[in-house]
Amino acid sequence: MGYPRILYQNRVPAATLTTTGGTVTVGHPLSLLTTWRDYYRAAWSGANSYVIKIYNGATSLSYQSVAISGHNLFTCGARFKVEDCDDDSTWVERVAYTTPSSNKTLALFFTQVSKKYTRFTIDNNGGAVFSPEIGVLFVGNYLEFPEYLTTPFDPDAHRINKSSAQGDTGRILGTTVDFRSRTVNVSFSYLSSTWINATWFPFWNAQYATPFIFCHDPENYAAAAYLMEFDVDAMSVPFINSAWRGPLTLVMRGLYEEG
Amino acid sequence: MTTMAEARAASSRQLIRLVILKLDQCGNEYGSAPCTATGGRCAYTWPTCKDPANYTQTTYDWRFTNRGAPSILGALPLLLKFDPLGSRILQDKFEVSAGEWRLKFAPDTAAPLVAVNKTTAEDDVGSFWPNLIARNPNYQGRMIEVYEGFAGVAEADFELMFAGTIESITVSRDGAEIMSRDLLYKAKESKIPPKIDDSNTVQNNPLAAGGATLNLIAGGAGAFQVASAKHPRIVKIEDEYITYTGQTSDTLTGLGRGAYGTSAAQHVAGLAIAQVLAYGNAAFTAGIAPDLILYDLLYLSGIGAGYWEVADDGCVLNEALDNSETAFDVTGGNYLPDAGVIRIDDEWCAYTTRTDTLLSGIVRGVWGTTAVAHDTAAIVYISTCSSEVNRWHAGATFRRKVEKETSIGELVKTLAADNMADVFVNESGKIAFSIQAPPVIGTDVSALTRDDHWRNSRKVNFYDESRCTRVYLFHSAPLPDPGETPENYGALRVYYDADAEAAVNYGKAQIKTRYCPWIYQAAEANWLAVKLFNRYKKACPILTFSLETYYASIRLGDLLRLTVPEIVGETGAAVSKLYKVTCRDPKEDNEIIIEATDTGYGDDRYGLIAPAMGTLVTGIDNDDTFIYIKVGDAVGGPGAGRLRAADFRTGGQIRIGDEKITIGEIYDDDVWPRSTPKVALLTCIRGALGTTPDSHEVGDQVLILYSGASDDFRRRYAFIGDSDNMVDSDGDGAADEAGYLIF
Repeated sequence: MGYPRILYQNRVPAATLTTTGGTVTVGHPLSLLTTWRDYYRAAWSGANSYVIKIYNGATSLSYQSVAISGHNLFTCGARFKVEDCDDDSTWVERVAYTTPSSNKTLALFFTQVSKKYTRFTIDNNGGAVFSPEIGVLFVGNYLEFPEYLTTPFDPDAHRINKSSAQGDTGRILGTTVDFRSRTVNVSFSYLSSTWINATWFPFWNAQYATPFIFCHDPENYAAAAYLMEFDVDAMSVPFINSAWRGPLTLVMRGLYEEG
Repeated sequence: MTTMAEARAASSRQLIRLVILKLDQCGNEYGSAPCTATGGRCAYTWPTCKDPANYTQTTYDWRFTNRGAPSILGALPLLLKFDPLGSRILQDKFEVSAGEWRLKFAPDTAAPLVAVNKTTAEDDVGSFWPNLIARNPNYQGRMIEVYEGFAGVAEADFELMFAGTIESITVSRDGAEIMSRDLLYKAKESKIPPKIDDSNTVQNNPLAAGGATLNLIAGGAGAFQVASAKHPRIVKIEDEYITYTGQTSDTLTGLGRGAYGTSAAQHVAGLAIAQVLAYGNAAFTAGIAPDLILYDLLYLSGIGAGYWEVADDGCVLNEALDNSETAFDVTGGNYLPDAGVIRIDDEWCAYTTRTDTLLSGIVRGVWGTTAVAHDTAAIVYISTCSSEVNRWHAGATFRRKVEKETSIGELVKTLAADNMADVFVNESGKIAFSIQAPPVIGTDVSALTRDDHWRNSRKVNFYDESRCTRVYLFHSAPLPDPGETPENYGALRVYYDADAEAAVNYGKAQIKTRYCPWIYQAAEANWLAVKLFNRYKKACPILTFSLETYYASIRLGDLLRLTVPEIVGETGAAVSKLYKVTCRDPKEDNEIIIEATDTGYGDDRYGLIAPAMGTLVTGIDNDDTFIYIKVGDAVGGPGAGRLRAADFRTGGQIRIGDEKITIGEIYDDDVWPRSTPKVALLTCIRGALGTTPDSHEVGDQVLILYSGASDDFRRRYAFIGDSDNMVDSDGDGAADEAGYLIF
């Protein structure tokens, strides 16, 4: 089992974004990548290779993960790689070409580096022209909890909003699904007061009202990444003693992605 | 991809509702020619425009889906729920309530840019709905469309389930609620003719009897209806009706003096000018076809031609057209009325004559559409009004003057009632015209029982008040605006059923009184009275039930054959009857509530309709497939006063004795001169429709059933009989020969 991570400190919203390759679809500009909402999608067409460049400004910024959500790269048969540099010229590969196995949220991790420029190159390995869409682009850091999740833990718990009916004569009629939504309950029995004060509270204060990407066990379940937000009106981490606090219980909610 | 039908038939499917708000947007780019705006913020709407002189009105589609819908590019998943109240047709009263939908949306933070489809757009802040309303305060009256689709179905295949106009938007902390009504509500709210201010008087000094230009006060023409050569409008000064075909800011031009049966006269300066409405021929001595009236009224109400339903009756262009040709080569012209209103691509036209291969006398680009070129083989769609009137009421004309400000909805309603028609907005958002008549052969009629995808049987309203034992029909009003005052009408037609009113029977007179302001002659009055009387001499129960999404393709106005335990015969066994869907409410929880009205048609579509029948030339055994029929005597020319080969329909049925026989090939043996004209039917199928093949003798009568009659034959003989099964065989308005009514 690995420690859970929450991706945050996304560099993209504050960065200068540029793109090359193909044409940006009218109504789906690059700026939609900054919204944290998978339904505001940037979209391109007319090429078989596209590049998104993220310039953080004169000061290098650290990052140790990238993620995409609300995309169609799997449907397009596309792949992407991530490179970075400080001079907009000497690009170093940070993530080798990766081919998504679905259109679900995908997060990738690496050793933290600090760079001014990051670029995504999306192609389909020389295939035909394709039209990618991306809703959320993440380049940033992550919070790693110092403890394992309290068991039992179910990352796949979700609510199904559907309507099914039985006819006058008892016949089972069709079922119509409205939506499925994921609700994840996360609990840590105890956490050190030092970590709570130094790491958790700064994170919480910056993040409680902002979406994030949650990975409950990146080591063993690399494909399990979810675009979520906290579904709480309050937060509490009771003192156990001067060294430890807990339990910390978090409720997260988001779309149950399919396909 | 999956089709809509496949998705509905699946045991489980994920529903997608796609809502489109069509709001105003400027077609320019901020600061780029022709836009000269600088500095200030603009959200590409008129209220936020910084260069109004160059504002270019276009429409932007704001798209929304339900929350969990699979992503549709550019659609915001904010739709929480919808509460539809479908349009409801009350057939016996010829009333249609406008559909009203309420849609609730979740709140959201602002869109990233004030206009995501523009290259130059400001960043946005705040909340989505307040921002949208602040920038689009002119949302009222703009179109809203709701589509239904399923995961796995291409968006292009989604089906429109509602189209209407935005009436109100309420924004709260919980999001927004949009209330929308269908287009008929717009017609009800529109009133014509417009009232003209008292100060807008004749400015000529004087307007001579032959004057061709009417001078108005400065800027006064804006109060009058917009006219053109294709669509002249009318003013009234003293007793004279004057048409005009154009206008400047302070004149009406192209005057047609002494119009609609009035006399041209001189009018002194300072006289009041009234806007009026008149439909009829130029001298007002005769009427015009109802399609020309209906679509002009809809046009005047602001409901564009894009929202008028059409039918594909099988006619196509047989040549490519430029934008000025006024005679169209076609194939299938025989499927169209002698005159009518058609649509080719997006262009609407009216024609006055037709043959099987040619439509002529065509006025191009009518009612706000533009004459454009069309490709050969383009479908010539016929308006539903032209098609229905041609099928059931060919040649009927109507006439009316309107001087008092009147709701267009009311004018449409009375016109529909005078044609015994339902006018309603269907689920495609189109205004359809449907005469209350039986299904024509080939109509797709779904048969349902409770064993189908039937969720709930709710109730049956036997609706006795729909029944009538006598019909009072007031018509031929000599003056404009007769309203519902009997004294304002010049004629009254009464039909009654003495047997029904007898004490041992129903025991009272149940009167259906109709005021018919559009009917001006006996033929249409007779036709309507007979149809009304026969349609409603039995009550028409209304059955309410609900179906599962599987049957979402059932639409308002569709016919259904239903067998339910609530409707039984004398033996207590359920009776299969034909119903018309008169209300359809789709609910969120996989349920569609249907109200269906009993049409009373039963199996009458196999009824006899011919006043003149044939006889067998030779006897036949029970397995003969060749039937030789004498269809008349050797008097008169071919087809005069007797059956013709063209009166039969392959695949339909005739009846000899108790046996029904399906017609195979038809051979015309009516070559003039001939002692006994005959028709031969070959490759017939004996014992059709559950009957038993039998032998028949020379001279046995051969009866054409409705199913076995050609279109022309149906037009001539169907629906022109009276309650005693007498039909008007010569079209003079009097029922004088024995025949059979369709209902």
